[in-house]
Amino acid sequence: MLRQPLSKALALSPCARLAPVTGRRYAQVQAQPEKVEVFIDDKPVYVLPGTTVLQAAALVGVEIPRFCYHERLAVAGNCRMCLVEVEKSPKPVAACAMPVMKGMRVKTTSDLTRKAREGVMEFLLVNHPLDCPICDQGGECDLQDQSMAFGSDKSRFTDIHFSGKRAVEDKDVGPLIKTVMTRCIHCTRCIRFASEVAGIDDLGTTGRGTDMQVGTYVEKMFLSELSGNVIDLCPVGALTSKPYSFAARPWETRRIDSIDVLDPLGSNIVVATRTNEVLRILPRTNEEINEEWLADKSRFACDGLKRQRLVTPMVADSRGNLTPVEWEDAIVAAAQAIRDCPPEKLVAVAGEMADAEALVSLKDLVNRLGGEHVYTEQSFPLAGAGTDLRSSYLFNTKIANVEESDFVLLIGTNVRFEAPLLNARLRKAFIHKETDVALIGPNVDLTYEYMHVGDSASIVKELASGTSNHEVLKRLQSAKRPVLILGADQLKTPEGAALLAYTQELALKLQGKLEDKEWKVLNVLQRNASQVAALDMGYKPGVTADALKNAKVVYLLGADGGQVTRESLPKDCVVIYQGHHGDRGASIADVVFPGAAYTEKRATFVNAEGRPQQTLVAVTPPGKAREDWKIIRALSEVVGAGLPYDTMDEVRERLADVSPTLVCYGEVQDNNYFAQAQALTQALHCYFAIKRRLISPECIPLLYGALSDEGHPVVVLRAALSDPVSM
Amino acid sequence: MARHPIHKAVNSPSPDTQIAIYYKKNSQWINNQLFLVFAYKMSNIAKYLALDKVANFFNIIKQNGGIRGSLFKLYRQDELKDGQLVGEDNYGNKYFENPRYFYGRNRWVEYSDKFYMNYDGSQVPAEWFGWLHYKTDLPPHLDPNRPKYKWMLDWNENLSGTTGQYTPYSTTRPKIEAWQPKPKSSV
Amino acid sequence: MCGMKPVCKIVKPLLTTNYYDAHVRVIGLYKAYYRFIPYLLRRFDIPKSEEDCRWKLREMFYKNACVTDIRVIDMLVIKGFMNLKEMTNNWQQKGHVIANWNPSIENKPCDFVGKFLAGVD
Repeated sequence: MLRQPLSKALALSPCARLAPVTGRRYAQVQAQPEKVEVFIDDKPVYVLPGTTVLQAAALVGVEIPRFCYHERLAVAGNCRMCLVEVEKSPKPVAACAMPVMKGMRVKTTSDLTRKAREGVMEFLLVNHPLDCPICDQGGECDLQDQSMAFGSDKSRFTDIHFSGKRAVEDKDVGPLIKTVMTRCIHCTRCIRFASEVAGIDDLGTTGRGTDMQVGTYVEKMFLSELSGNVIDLCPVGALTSKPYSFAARPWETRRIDSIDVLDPLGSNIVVATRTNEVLRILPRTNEEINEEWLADKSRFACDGLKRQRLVTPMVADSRGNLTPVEWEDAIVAAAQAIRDCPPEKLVAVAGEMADAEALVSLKDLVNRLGGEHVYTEQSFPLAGAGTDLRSSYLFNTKIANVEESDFVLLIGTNVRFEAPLLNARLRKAFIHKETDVALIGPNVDLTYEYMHVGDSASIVKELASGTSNHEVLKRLQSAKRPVLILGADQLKTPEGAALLAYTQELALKLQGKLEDKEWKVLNVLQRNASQVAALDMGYKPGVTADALKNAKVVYLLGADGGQVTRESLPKDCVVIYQGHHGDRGASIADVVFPGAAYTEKRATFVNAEGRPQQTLVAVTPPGKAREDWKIIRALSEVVGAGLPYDTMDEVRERLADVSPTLVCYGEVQDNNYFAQAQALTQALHCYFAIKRRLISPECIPLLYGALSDEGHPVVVLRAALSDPVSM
Repeated sequence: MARHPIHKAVNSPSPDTQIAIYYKKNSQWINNQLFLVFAYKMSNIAKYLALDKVANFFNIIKQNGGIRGSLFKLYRQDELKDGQLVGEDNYGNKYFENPRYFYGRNRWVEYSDKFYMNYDGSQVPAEWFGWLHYKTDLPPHLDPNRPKYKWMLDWNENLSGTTGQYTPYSTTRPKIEAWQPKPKSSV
Repeated sequence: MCGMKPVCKIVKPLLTTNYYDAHVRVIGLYKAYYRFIPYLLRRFDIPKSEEDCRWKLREMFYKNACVTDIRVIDMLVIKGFMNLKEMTNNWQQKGHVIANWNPSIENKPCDFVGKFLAGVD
């Protein structure tokens, strides 16, 4: 595979790319080459050699118009919009592709530059339809903005009476992206994104000159889990969002910064709303997590927020049918059930989108009543130290630092679908740096080349014990910054404990030899947005059948994973469901409380790294739905175990009492408790001596059916939010 | 205001002779008039003694179907009147007129028995409305100019407050579609 | 008093110059209202007794018991007399009079559960 497809082809050194990377502190400090002085509009600036004129101009605050250039993509230099005059150069040069030279004098506002821009703009507009009033990009269109700023004030276009404007047939690239190819200005950003970031070499150009077309050559879908990003990248209205088409203009929408909860990474998003309706979700730049990309599931799942919602409290009537009631009745019904229930038979289960405030209220409620049964849906082995040490269930390396790694071993995780943006990071590291990836698990397509070690978990044991003669062991041992990423789904099985222990042992062995003592090797990639916060608070991972068998009241906090079913419960068990969607949980419930979805509440979510972030209220909860922690707080008072917090600030204080890390918004606390980790493994070793004989060290079937089947992202998002309950 | 000074000046007999001549000429008519004055005075006496009210009372009772009928009508419409039946519409409402009553109360409708106590103003069809409200003196069945096309709809009473009333409803799709729980028991 | 300190603003008195006069005026206003109460009940058809009115009158005066600024007291007295005149001249109707009791205002819930059920934050 060509590792640096276009930037290398353009003979640009990689360090010319000013991709802002936060994890720079791990980068080796190379001898810095001497900076050269250039003059942008007579302003002197010192830049590294290899910097482009455009980047140098950006340093002094001069923005040069561009269409094809994008900071995170290779330089193409084909739109010619960034032409600037350089002194002693016979022709204007393309600023995005021109490396600076010593003493270069760039004139970005000279007559020649202005004329060049006007000419380029005129040529672009000759073949661009004047359909801005019906174009979805209108108002956020680069061509519109730049033609206003840099274009000519009058038109010389008369050819409309003769051969007319160029027209191109629209392409069908799937249900998410709408194409109007006549509007395309051939900037090739989408093509570069697809081949460089998404790793799908499907897009390309055919023909040349006026016959040039961007497309997929043969008609096929743009099958990528990151496909939505080309909508943001497209400077014109050629690629727009199909679900959002003709919905709103950008100046009509209110934008609220928020956090995505559909994958464990907690990508930063902007929720665009109008008239109390979520219209679309866009990425928000956060170099630590999602850069400026967003996975399709997070981007397009917002339509699920309008379907199948729980809008009113419900209580089962004498026939068992759920009937809408007032809050008072529902809370009294639930409170009665909880009061009649002995505390050891009260079980609370938190689902995958529960926020930290609701989690802490629910746990406090159960504990106040004397119960201890608070569980999450996702299981995690409790053998040894279990979830007592934070580092054993977090993504310790941090997402951004994965780029700095030189060898990544994925154990039983299909990162491409579990955390698409992490996969994009891995791919970026693979392409632009010397990172290699190996995978233990089914041979799946990760969009880049990797070393497939096998799909048996026993390999991990061999690696940990050093008995493996696979090449990957040598690579791991020789790596300066190795990373192990263990998929949390593997830990569901009875062998999960062993798998985790072996992985921890391997990580510890690797870590011990590292020169860089700050570097963390062990990572567990959680599957959902609530797990880390729940484990931080002391929820027990994975609801057990024993607990459910004796339960008298089960409180489901958005638990739709299917772990709790009517069959697993006693006949007279009362199920209380609190959540925002009617799904598996609500359909087995006796009392239903409508809660708020992540766009409707201010709430804390902790991502896989252990980074707490808060969502903000973009729209009000529908109908009678209320914020989740408030429901539990109100219920607690009726039950007779009133929780001691009335406002969000007080809940957050309580969160800080439980764990101060939960309220350090945007920060990741280092989990660098080296000595403790050592002690932990020691303890595990003792445990292991017993356990090792019990597990057969042969092939543990890795749970991959579900992951490989996920396939197209559209399927994924339907499953995430609006999967109708099949009964 | 001497309008005929010339005529007056030519020959004017004395007023007394004038009266005598007048009486001689019109004695028959004057006698009749005198009788009428007498009869009028007598009726005044009857009125004075409220005997006409009694007559009216019995007349009203009689017209409204005896004592039982009158009590029923009194119960149903709080009012007993006698009058001339002017017409009846397709729905069985009867229209009466009696100029003896003061203007504004001298035309009225007795709603069809089928409405019993549930009568209201909207049950008067449009064609009778005009007569009832003194827009015209011609009742509809005597009015030759009233258009009568076969496409004209029958009168429809106001159904507000009944089960047949019009209830406005939104035709837009709801922004949020609520979850409908599946019924557990099919019984 | 203010004249001694140059930083103080010298203001013109409204009606009275000392606290005693102001107090007399307040008592005068109170008496005027107190004596008007029987006529008020005859004039306005409100479901209140003389006792109720007297309590309300007391309440209204005690509401401003903490006012010490003479100019403010004077202003309140003036406004009180204006209000009384509006009543005696029938410029106020019974709705205005009964509004002193705020019969139609429901208190907002201030406990957590009350606020939760009412859906207010």
